[in-house]
Amino acid sequence: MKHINFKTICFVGLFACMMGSVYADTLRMAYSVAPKTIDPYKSSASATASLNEHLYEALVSRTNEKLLATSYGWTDDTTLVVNLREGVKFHNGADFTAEDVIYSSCRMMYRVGGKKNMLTSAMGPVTDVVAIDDYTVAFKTVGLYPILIQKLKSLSILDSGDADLGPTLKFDNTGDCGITRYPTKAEFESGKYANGTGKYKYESFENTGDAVLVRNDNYWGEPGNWDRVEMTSVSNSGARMAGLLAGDYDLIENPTGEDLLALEGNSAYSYSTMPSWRTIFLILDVGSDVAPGVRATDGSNPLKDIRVRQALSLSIDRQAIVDKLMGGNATVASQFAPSYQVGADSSMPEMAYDADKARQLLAEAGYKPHHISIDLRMPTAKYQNGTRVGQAIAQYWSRIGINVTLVAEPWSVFRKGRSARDLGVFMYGWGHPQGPSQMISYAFGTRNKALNLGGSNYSNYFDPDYDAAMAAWAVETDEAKAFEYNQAAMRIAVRDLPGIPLYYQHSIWAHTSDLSVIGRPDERTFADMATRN
Amino acid sequence: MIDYKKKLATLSLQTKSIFSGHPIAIAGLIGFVIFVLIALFAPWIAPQNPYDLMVLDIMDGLLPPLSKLGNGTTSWLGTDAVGRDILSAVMYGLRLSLFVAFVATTVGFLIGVFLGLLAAVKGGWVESVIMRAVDLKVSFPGILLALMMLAIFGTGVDKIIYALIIGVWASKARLTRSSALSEMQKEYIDAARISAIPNWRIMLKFLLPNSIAPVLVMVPMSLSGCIGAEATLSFLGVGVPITEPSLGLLIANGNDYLLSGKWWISLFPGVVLVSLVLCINVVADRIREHNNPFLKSMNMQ
Repeated sequence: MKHINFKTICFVGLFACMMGSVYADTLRMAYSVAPKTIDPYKSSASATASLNEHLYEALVSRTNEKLLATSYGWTDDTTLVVNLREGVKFHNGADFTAEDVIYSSCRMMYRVGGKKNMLTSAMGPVTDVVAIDDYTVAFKTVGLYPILIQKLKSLSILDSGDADLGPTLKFDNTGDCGITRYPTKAEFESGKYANGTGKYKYESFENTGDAVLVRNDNYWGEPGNWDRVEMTSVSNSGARMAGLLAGDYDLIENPTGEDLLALEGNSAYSYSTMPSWRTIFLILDVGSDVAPGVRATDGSNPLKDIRVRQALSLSIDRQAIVDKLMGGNATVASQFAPSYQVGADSSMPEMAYDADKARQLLAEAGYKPHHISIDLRMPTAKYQNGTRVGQAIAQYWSRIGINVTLVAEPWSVFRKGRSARDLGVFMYGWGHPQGPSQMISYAFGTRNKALNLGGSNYSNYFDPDYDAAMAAWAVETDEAKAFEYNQAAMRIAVRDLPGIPLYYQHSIWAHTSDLSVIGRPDERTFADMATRN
Repeated sequence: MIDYKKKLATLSLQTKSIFSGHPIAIAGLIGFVIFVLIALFAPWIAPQNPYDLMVLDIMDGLLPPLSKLGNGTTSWLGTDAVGRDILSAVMYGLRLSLFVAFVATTVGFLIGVFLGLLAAVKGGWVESVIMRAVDLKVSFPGILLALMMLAIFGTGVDKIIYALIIGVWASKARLTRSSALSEMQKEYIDAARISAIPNWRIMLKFLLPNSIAPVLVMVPMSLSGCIGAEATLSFLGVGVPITEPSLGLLIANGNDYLLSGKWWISLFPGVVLVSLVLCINVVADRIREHNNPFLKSMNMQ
């Protein structure tokens, strides 16, 4: 008897050890979209960026934490000086210095195999990148470009030792820089040069999106939570959830709201939500004499009348949409970007709901019930519960006497119509780390190529005060003042309603209940969001 | 001259001979007629107009069967996420599904028969062009072609009908041609040709009535095929508009909620879709069996 007991204990003990070494330190994640490459400059897609963020770091993180930079500041109108972190090592053991920043800037601009990288806009107005000493680097710009530090968030730092630098390394906008040999595309994709300073090191990557990463034990800061991270991607949300329930994954991203209902009451699983940076809003063509898909009995564009726009906004019960359709996983909007994002005026009130006032405003504007017809256009399968929200908005508008046709089309068709400016009223979603300024600088206002303003003004909205505020914002190097200009423009936009803010989407992760997950607002999934309890 | 009265009498006699002694086929026929009647009279018998956004309320969303709606009426089969009464939605969805299938089958049938006859009568390069087009179409999976078309041209009831017509015409054209070609060997056609009767008259007057029987047999099959294809496309989200759901789109809407126990959204439209297709297929099988000379001779033995 004694003998058997001893054996059993040994076996159980061994088993427990194995369990410990296999499970306690490995995180298995399922993405909803497959990462395409481990080259940090080839794609701006969220899934690819999520994977690459494990391997590479920028000077500043997307949430404004200092990573490879310790401080930065403008010494004159066109020079941004960045002090670099000392004692940082790449995964291959090489030291991180100013040369790596210059090399990475060149690599961002370099045409790998003749193809322009997706992420080059950061370097657009940069004329030179100079090493002042080993741990100080200066970016020179062609003119005032205060948002450069925001743009540098996409400059992933690579090791200059992976290339043959040639006798003199000198930044230029073509990425040649005197460099005699860059790692080729094939070398990069093979993982040989997946050599960053990030919390995790490369072990394997398949172009199906499967990747295995291991902890970087020489990380300069707090090391990663996991010995090993196994990533895979499952595009079908039902299959992703089934994989979680079957024990294939510890953590999945973007479960549907309906799936969460299934998790409730199951103590083995849990979910975490985080208000994201994505705002869902409607764009209204307020400038054209005839807006596509918008008809009034008098032949005019009714959206030109502010009272009609106010009525459209007031008729929507956003709280009901958040509660009934989003399962509470959204926040009622107060403006065109999340009020909780850095730089936003958080004191703005939530967009109001008052159907009676909406009817009254329409009557004042001279429109009787059924005088206005609107085609509400939207993409399908793009936003959480998108088509249901579209139907709810159509319900609300028809209740104040507007004839609504909801046109939901696949993204490919929708995008064509948008590019042709063929959409008078459409639903859209936008999220960006740069926050309120990014949204508002592109979406509304007169087009200004020099200052990069108004590039996506599908509303055809023009207001001199708005333009003045944004023009002042674009060249303001003082952050607090820039925020003020931006907030002033935002208030004008919410007053004039060239679009209608609806709600801020929340990101959701479902996971086994032995994990604690603190999600990120930028819709990316990073292994260290999770810790084992 | 064709005697239409006589034709009609033959037709009813034929119908009787097809269905008598086949209770399952009769049940299928009755079921099909009931579905068609529900579809035709949906606007008068449905408790709600599920396509009218004015009467829907998201506050009524996801109620189980037999719940009371905000306006005091009872929803017998529950509601979907945006507050649409499932019973009404199924009736209207049936109407839409049948309408799409009827139009696509009829138009596809007419085009197919016309092109088949044309190929048989004209011969030469006309025949080559038509038949190679048929080969091209048949070598391509129909649902894939429809998906591609809808992805390019956008969605809508009209577009889904075009997509389905493209799926229907080819097999009809091929069958009409082969059936017409065998008729062309017969002496009465030669006689007609010698009498210098124009081609179009030969086509419509002599070939059409005599070679259409085998093609007609395919019609019910096409109809159920179109209903299934429309449901598939709508389920995949490239079919009918989301505010005017057909049976397939209703099932797709409910599919999202199956894991969370909201079974009624998918179940009822699913049961109706399966029953409808089953009814048509039972009838179609019987007609095919009746018209197949090989099977007939086996029965006689």
